[in-house]
Amino acid sequence: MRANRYLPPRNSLLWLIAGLSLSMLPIARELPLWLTAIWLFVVLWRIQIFRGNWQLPSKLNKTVLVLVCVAGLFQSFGSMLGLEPMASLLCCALLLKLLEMQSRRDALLIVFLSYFVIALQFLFSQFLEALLIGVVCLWIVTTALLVLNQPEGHHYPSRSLKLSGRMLLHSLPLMALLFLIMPRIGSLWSMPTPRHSGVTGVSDSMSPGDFSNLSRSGGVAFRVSFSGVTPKQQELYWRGLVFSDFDGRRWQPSSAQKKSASWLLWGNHKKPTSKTKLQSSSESDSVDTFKSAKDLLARPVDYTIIFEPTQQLWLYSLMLASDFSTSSDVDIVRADASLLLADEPIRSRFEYSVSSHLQYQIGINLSREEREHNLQLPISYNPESSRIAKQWRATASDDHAYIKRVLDLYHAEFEYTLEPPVLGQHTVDEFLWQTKQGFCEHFASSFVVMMRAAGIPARVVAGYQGGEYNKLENYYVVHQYDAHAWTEVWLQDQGWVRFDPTAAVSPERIRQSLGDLSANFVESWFSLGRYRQFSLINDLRMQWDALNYRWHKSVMGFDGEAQSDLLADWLNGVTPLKMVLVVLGSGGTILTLMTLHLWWRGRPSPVSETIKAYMKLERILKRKGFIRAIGESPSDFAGRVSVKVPAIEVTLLRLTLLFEQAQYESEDFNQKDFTQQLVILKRLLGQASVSA
Amino acid sequence: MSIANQLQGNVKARFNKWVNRRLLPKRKQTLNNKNLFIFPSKAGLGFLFVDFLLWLLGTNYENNMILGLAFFLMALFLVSIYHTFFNMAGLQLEFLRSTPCFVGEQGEVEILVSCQGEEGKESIAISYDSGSSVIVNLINDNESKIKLFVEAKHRGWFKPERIDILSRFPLGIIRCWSRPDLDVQILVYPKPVEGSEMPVSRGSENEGELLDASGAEDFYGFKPHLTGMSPKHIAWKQYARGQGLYSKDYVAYREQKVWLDWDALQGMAREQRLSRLCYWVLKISSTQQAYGLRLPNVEIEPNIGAEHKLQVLKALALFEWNQ
Repeated sequence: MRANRYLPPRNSLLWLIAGLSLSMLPIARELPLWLTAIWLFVVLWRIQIFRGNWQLPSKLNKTVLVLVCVAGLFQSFGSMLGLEPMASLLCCALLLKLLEMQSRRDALLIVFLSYFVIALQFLFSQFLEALLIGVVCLWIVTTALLVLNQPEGHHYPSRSLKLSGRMLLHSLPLMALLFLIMPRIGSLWSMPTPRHSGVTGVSDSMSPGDFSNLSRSGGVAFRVSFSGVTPKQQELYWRGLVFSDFDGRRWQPSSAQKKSASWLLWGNHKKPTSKTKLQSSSESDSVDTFKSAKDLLARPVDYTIIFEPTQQLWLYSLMLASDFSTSSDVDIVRADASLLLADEPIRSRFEYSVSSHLQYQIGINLSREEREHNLQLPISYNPESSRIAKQWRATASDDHAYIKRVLDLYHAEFEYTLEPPVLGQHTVDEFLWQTKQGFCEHFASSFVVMMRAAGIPARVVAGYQGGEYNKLENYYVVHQYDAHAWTEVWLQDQGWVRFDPTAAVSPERIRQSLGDLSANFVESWFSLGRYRQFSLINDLRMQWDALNYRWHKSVMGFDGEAQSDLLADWLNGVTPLKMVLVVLGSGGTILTLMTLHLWWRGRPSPVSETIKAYMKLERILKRKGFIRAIGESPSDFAGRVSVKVPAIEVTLLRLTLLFEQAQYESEDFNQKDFTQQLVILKRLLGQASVSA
Repeated sequence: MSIANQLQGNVKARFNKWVNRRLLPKRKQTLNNKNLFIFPSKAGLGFLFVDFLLWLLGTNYENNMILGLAFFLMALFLVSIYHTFFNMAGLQLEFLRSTPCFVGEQGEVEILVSCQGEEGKESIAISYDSGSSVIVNLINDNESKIKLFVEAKHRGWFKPERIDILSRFPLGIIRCWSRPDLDVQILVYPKPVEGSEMPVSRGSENEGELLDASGAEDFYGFKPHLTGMSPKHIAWKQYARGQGLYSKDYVAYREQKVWLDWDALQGMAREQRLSRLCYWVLKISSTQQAYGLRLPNVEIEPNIGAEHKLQVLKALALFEWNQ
């Protein structure tokens, strides 16, 4: 220990601990659990040091702690690459620094590191909630910095908090200005991105029960705003994945699809330009088909999707996406079956725009290979269904009649439920002929099996259906509980046609969202959505979501392009001169207003009537040479003068008493009496004609 | 390294010269934009560096919230300049008094620090270059008297260097300071140096004589009245009370007035003589002996008491003293 130990101001330790703990809290989910133990341990030790009970850690203690942290980091992450290990490392450093804090420099370092940790939480979450938490953290950490410079701050803790709050408010307009005008130069080098522990959203395979689980996982999948025509709710089938491979229980994308995805993920490919994108899509749905579809169709539907991170590649679009773009670094490519894929997993909010033709014809010329693929069924599974399918198809006049018969079966005998019974080996057989209760995946799966068994190519499509309209900002919210599975059947001369067997069972599911139908089931206790039957709460929920949406649209999505557009719009064309004028003008105005505020707060307090009157008395006496010394009390002064001029003693003492009572004993100031006495004093002084 | 030091010294010297020209001595001064200097502190440079790193982080991730945080801290830095300045501006400093001291000792300077307005001033450090600083907080009070100590380097009216007044409040990232000259002067007495013999002046005419006992004036006590004693000295009051006949006894002392004399210290330099004289002044003044001082062209009549002592010391301090 050093002989001359730095003693931080008394309150600052608490503020520092509060600041760093609060800034670590939002990212706690991303940190390993043992860090909590380290945090507890360090805080306890530090407080004990402060209370004088324990010693500062010795060199040995510190070494052991560092080793524990390093071992923990390796145990948890294996390598130091990636964002989470980096964040954990930073938090370890911060905590260890807190423990060994010995100088002002250390304390400052803690504050600076805390600012960094606040920034880290924004990498993991860009919701509006993160902003609110971030502001509170910023406030507390800034107060900690302030208290470090307030040796006697512990006398007025609320003053510190208020002052730092005032400083943050003063910074706000300047920050907004900087935000608007500071040029965005774009990513300089690649950085590790957050790797959340769990992937969310629709997964890359489908087994019975998956979707009903997903519907309960809560949260928003994406938000969509349409420009121009908005399709009907029943038309909103957001396609994400197409499953063609079936092993009797699990549906998976075809191996070809998987290959293209893995090529995207791992291949050292040159990023395709927008032209090659279209070509790469031509593997199955030939460009010709696509082109003919485009010719055939009327106006496309244009929409923009703000996509919440899923850690997965697939994006969602309405059939048939003809054009798509994004301003982000991540590129979109067209995959098999007119699906959209990102070229890297979506790890943060991602915005993209798509044009879709809702009336389409696709895949009219089905290749033999593809046809076989979409007829594939695992042998020795669901024998009952296969048998019945073949039988029905034989009796049906054509494919349409057969399909109608299957859909009628669903409509007549089946029940749509969020809690379907568990199925055994022959999932489709058990579902179709025994339990007859199921969620969307049961219907889609069994429908496709029935089609394939009857020799009709079919596939399962997974994605979301519908969305909740928010009229405040005119957009749709698609929740996780909107996850849905339906089918596409290939028909001669029509190509792939969408069939949703769930709609046959429960048409209201397609017209309304599951959230509206059974909020208690799909929303958690803490979610406002659960209580949407109360209109006040529902309004609040919509307001909040709209705010979040606006936040993303206007602030988070404010990139270099948006910036130059906005400035060009405001300034009617950007020139360097205009920019300089804007910066000087607005910056100057902000700083001037702040200066005025600060000046106004520190202005001399107005002199009260009492003091003005007394100053008049002082002036009269000063003419006679009596000057009140600095620090001399009025009564002492009166006494001193009275000794020299006994004639005025009574009057002077009376005046002094009037003043002191008003000034120090909070009595009302009797100005009239004071003025009268002052006249008498003047006269007496004149008569006495003395001087000091 | 040495070049850097030299350069730093050079810059400092030039700055001081400039300050001397700019900030004129005045007993009462108000800090304002004309005499306050402001610059980022070392912590402030660190803060800017952290801010830059945050900006890099935000730019690389194209994350507007992190960029926003970076801009916020930048704005906070700028705002901090204003807050630091306004915390200092309007502060009034007034030199009240100084307490005399001896060369080499710490002279005490009393300064009144005050401000107007309800906002108050906080965490302002005031010091002399060498001494430890006093932290001033004017939050509930509008004024505060502080005492600074400064080593007296020479005899006479000693003018200490300028006062350092500095504050990093509120965030420690901006340093605002001033070096006002409050026209402080401290009366500094010579350093007392123990000398061999008391430098008293040798008998000049009327001094050191024995006075006639009958002319003695100092009342000493009573003694039994014996015939032949002066009837003037009979203690009639005591006699009237029936306490017997006593005679008041008066004594006359040998001349007790000592002249401390410059000339008694032959063969010494001026300062040495003053130091010796100073030593003896202190020594004699602790007894009840009257003493006077003789310096070339200065003569202080023998006397006793604190005021006399200060007068004598002041004479020593200011002897042949000029700026």
